[in-house]
Amino acid sequence: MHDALLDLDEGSPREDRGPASAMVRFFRVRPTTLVSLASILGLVGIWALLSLGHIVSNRFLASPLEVASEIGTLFREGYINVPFHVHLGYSMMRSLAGLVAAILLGIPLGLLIGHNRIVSAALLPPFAMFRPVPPIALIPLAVLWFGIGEFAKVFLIFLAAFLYITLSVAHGVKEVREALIRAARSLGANDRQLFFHVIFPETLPHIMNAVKVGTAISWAVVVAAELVAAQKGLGYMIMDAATFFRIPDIYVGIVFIGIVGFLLEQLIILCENRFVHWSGK
Amino acid sequence: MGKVAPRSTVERPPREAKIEISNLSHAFLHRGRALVVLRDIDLSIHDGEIVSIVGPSGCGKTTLLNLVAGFVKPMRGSISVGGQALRGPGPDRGVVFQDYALFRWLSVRKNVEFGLKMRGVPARRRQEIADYYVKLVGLSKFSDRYPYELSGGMKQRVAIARVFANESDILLMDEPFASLDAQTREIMQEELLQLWSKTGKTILFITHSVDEAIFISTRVVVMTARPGRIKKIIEIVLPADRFNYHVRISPEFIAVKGTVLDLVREEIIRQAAEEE
Repeated sequence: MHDALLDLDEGSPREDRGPASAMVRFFRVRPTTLVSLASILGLVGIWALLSLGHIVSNRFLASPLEVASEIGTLFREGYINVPFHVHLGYSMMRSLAGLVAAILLGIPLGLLIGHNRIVSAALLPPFAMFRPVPPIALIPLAVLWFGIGEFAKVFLIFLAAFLYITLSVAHGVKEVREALIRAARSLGANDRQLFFHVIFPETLPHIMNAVKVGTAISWAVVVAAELVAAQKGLGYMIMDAATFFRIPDIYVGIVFIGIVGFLLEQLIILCENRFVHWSGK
Repeated sequence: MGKVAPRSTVERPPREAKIEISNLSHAFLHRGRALVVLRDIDLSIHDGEIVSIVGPSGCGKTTLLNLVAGFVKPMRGSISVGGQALRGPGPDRGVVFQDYALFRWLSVRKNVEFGLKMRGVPARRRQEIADYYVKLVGLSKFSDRYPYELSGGMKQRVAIARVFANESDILLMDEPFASLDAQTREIMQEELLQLWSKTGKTILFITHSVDEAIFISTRVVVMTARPGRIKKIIEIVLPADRFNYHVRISPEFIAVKGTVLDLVREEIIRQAAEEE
């Protein structure tokens, strides 16, 4: 009896799903992709015009060509006797260490704050007060407490990402619709099952987003932390290059910060398409 | 549509009270004042009945369902289910929500399996049960799909399969078809009746639609405007060929529809007059 009834349904279920199709969707060239590409090329064009046309003095602005050839030089000879990939690697490792710690602590704590009213009442206000403090403002304090070693930098990165991830996950838990909880309860779920089989998966899109923003934060903060007290890293390289007027090196640093940040975000978006394909639909 | 069962074969007297609501009153706090939504409700729902509740907006229909579901504790009076005083929500009373409340991270089959999984039914067994009910609501081809890939009618079929699979004796349905288009809605009503006749569940059904209430019910409860009381309970006696949609244009149907509409109208007019 139902086959005939099904024809009345207007739903046209999508055929593609899963990791393979996520890749296809990611790499398929759309008209909007071309516009984006043109926009980037246009920006590089304006940059070339400003620098090569001497509209802006080369004391302030290196040309795209100079930057490109400097990238080659940096990869071959390094910056101040330190290979370029070591600078890049230092920044990434610090960022990763802080981020992983923030994820490991922030997600469970965020879930707890969101789920438990008493924990929420106790922890949410101090978190909310700490959150607006820019991590850069804490650099002097971190140096005072932990010196100029790796720990101070990783701590700063951790703190910035942790505050964001925790609050964002807690917020996500509070967004879980009452109807879902009621549905699960009346299907027989106990407290533990409610948490692990309903609240956690329903919060997963928020968690993924928190990780995405947390990654961006940790990448931004590592550069800021390295501006002050470091002998290696992209932030150090930019600061040092500015001090000694190695103008192209400044721009190489900036370009690489941008590229790495962009690639990290794309990586997480791929994960989102894979693990929370149902999000927002 | 398969074989139709005349209504008389579904009734099986003598019937015991499956849900017993006595002297139930409930109020909400609204801007510091108590707003009474339900007053002195007495209602017995027997095993295997479908009882619909209709009434003007704000008459406490949904509150009544939430109370029976155990989502809200009554302020006064009592509810017992199967002779036992109510203690919170439980798998003995399956709930179907207006907005489906499906688990969007689970496939259709996993949604239907959910309650069985919570209760520790082994994976193979629960898959068999889920497949059976998914088939029963006509979604076999879609059992690996996710809710976002389904239309409204299909989603509500999943929600219905989910409570049927959980083997609750009692179903509480809160305007389950309200967000469906008119044609899908009528078909869903017929499907619900079919499922009901196969399984003999006891159903409490909240709706705005007098038509829907009469078509699917053994009794229709008309509520007054707020504070909601029971205005009248009407036995629905329709031609034997219950599941044929033509019953909707039978003289018996139209006569009882007139009666119920008059009662509901009265309350809506009274409510409007009081608000002026």
